[in-house]
Amino acid sequence: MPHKPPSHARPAATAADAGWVLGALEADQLVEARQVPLGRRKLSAGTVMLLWLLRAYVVFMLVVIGVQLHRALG
Amino acid sequence: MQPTPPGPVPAITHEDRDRAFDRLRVLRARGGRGGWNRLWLLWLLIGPGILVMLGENDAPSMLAYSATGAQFGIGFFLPFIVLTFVMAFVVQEMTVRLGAACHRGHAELIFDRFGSFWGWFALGDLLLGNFLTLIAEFIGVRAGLGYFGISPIIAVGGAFLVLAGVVMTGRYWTWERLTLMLAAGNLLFIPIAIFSHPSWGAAGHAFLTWQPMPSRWNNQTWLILVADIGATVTPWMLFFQQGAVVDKGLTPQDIGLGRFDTLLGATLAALAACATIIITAPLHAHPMPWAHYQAAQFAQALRPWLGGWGAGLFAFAIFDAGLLAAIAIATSSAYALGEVLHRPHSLNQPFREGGTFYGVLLAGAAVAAAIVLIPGMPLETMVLIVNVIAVLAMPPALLFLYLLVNDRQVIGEARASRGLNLATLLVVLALLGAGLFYAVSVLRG
Repeated sequence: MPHKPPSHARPAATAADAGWVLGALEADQLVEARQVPLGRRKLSAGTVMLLWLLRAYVVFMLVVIGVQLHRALG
Repeated sequence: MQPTPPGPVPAITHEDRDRAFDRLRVLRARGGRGGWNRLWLLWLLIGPGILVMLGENDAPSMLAYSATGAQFGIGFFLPFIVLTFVMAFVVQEMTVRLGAACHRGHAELIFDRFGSFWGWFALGDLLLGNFLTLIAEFIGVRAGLGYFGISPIIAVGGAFLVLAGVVMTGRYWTWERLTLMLAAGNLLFIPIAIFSHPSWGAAGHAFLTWQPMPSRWNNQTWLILVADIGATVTPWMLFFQQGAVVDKGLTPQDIGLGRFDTLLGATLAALAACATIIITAPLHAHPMPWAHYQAAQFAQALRPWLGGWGAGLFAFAIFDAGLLAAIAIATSSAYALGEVLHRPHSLNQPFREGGTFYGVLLAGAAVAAAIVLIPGMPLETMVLIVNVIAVLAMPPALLFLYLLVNDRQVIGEARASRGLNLATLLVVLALLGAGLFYAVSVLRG
């Protein structure tokens, strides 16, 4: 059961806060814990190819939007 | 809840304390019994889902729905809009699970797991889309308040000051509740539709049969269709909701209510979107030129059907939609940049501790607001195009989301089921298909 927090809505920044704060939050919710990177995952060749294909799709579609804009403004 | 590991006591920040305070209320509500306690727990946990869905019913989206009703009346697009919100729910539900399970933002996860090369592509898509959309939000603010004779500089400047006031409360909870109040304004479209005395028979027929279909599938039709998809499924929503879930402090125990929050948001947003099509459907018989697709012109054109009050409420609701979305979209950019630059990124920090976060948020909004005030800008075209850009940037964003939500190291037991993976694949194919049909229609001229 978590410790009781101080009665005021915005608790003071003291070491006494640590007990109830650590009781209320999961360990990996703390700002300090979230500073640690999760680490890279290895992407398969298929995934990398798919990422490049979708990147090409975005570039192509941006050109299409440019054509549409040019016509609308012209 | 994972126990805090033994060892030295970790550093506790201001952000941690504020979040812990909110979590204690949730833990107490969860420990209680009875219907009121459950309602209280729901009240504490709702927010990100409603905000993201009603936030995406933004000024360009409502103007896209208005254009849909004006061009096609009541028919195919009513059930189509509902389908797009089903797609949005499928996608956004995954961000709830990601945020609650790993307590990290979306941009941070992409950079961590796929490296900065792919990360910067994703972030570039987000920031470009967000900036253009922010401009469109201020266009909506300007046009909505313009109906009441308020000058552009007062409308846009005033909206920016409200945005700054809401985000700088230094408390996620206060920001969320204030923004939820603004989100309620989006529901104004529903009573306006009811009081416009629409043909409920035609609406019911459209929902059941998807008829009548558009008479021609030309470039304008595809543009409207893609803009309507972009009005519900966009990259900023992924980054925003996951960031808000993390900032709010949701945990795996909260995923069920987080899902309900998202479903409730999708339902309310779909109702408001369909209501907007119904409101502007009478204009189908009195076509407006594209250059008049702004809130003020729609409100003026609707006066014969809605009366002065109804038209005024319509214009006000467009303003409110722009203001709400400007807050949400600027926040999503600030979350993402803060995560990537490893700077503090929480609405639970006071301004002096979160200078980069608040600086990015306010600077982006200020520049977008200033652009809207430049004379001669093609504002009407920009409003429809931003939704199209959002759709086109979505497939790569969904691939990252798919990979993350199946990554056991990131999400653990909350990873995607086969059914959800299939639904995600269908959403990607639908977006790609709509984009390619739109491209063909443009290139064929």
